[in-house]
Amino acid sequence: MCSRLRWTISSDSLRGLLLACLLATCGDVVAADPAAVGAIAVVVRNDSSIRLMTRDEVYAMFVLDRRGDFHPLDLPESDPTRAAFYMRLAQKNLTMMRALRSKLVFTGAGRPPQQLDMPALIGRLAADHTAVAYLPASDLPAGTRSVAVLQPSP
Amino acid sequence: MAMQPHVLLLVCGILCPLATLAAEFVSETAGEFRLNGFATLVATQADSGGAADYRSANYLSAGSDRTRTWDFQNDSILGLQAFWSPPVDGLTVVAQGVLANDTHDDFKPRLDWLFVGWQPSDTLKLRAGRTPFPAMMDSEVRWLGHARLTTTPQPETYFHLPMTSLDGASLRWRRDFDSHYLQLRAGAGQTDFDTASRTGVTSVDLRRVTAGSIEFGGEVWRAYIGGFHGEARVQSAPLARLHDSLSALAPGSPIAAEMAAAYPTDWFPVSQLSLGFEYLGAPWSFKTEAVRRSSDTLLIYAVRGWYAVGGYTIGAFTPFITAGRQWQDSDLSPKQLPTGTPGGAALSAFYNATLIGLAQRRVGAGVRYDLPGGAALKLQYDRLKLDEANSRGMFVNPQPGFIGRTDPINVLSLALDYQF
Repeated sequence: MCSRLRWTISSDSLRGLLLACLLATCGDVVAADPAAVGAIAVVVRNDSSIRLMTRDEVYAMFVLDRRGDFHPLDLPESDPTRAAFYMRLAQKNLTMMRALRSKLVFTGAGRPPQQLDMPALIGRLAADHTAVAYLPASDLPAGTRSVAVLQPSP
Repeated sequence: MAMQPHVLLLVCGILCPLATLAAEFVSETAGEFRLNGFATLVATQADSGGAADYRSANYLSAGSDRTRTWDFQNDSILGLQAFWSPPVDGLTVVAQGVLANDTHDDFKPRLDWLFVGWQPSDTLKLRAGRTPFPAMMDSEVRWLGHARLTTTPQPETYFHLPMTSLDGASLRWRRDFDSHYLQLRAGAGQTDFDTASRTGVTSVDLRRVTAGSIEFGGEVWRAYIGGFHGEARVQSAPLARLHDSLSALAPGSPIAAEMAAAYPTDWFPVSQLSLGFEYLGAPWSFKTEAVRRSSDTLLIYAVRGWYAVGGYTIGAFTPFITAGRQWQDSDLSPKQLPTGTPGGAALSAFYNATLIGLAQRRVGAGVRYDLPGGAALKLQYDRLKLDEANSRGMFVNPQPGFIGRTDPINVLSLALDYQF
């Protein structure tokens, strides 16, 4: 029998919330700049059964939660790669993705990808052949390969 | 007993941070279990001149004077949703409870949804139990602050639908093709609720409800048409006495029969049609909805309403503008029983005193700020104008002189949304 209890953090955790409130009080704004992000690769472990993914397949997995037997992974909202990824994939910014995810979760239509920070995400990719993530295409970790690329707008 | 605002703040202050983690449990024998939640704390102030209580889109409460200063209770809500997928192919169980203000102005928990779902194929999903009322474009997500730009659901459409669930069964069929989708929803069942009426708190039963909708969309837009039909019964002691007295006069007075028919004590038909459109293509967002409710009685008005909201996102800020209008299509012209009718003057006066409309125009502006930690702060200003001399708009508990007020009413609301 295999059981596991996982506390998923759909945002950046309590510490993030408190930090956000503090930043808001101070008038500071943390905003990712997706325009500064280069090409983004959708990556899997080398031995994954996924060979290539179309843009529609990436959209279905990351936006609509049509994940099949795979495990899509998200970077934190504060990472500009995430903002750029969803902007290019779905033409949605942070506010719109939160709205979309909110509807997805509470109508029972799906759940968001598990969110991990960059080191944890790279570790998960190395350990799990079903993991699917997105990373800057210029710096893919060893043992992974790209199955789709989202280029910045010209 | 109503919860005081500072107690509500304390509850939210304790529960929200504790609930920042969503739980997920997976077992080969027990299946998958998930716990998610949402919380919205809203503070509202309406300068009604101390003459009425502002009520937006949650349950219509009887009035508490709080919105004449600052009200933290009316639109604040805390929700928990448990999702269990047992190790049976396609089967799910969903329970959703909310802690929110009710008609009696008490901040109480209630079970919003409890249903068993079965998905026999990728396109079809069936649900039975206490299911979401599939009546408007956002009726399944009306509680979710993250799902909208504004501080509360748009009042011109959701103000008129105080029920959020249906005890019965529903189905959802969705087909994706290329970059578009077609979704059909249908449901049937019954429900009941209390609401604040023109004569105090009344009980409303809805039975034989059938609802359906069609949604067609792409990656950045969706269009919606939906509606429901059912039979309603409204139980109000003062209106039942009015009906009985008028019915006694009806055989000899056609006008008495007409007035009695406006306030039936039995079941009567009610139906609703709504249209909606949404565009979400960064940085622009736009949403509009319109509703048309049909009813031949004055217990439930024939209502028309629409709203529109548009926003433009700059970084984490989304400033938005919004406007809406609502009015009744029911006959609210005063009526008089013939002179000499026994008790006619008093009955006519009572009948005419119930003819309070809800015509209102609204323009507003605000900003949503998405905080990096997963919360969102919102500030919204609305300027309301009662449209007709007999109108109370979205206000309850009106004091003498408020109905038909010609001066605009300013409403300021602040919201903090969080979801986990």
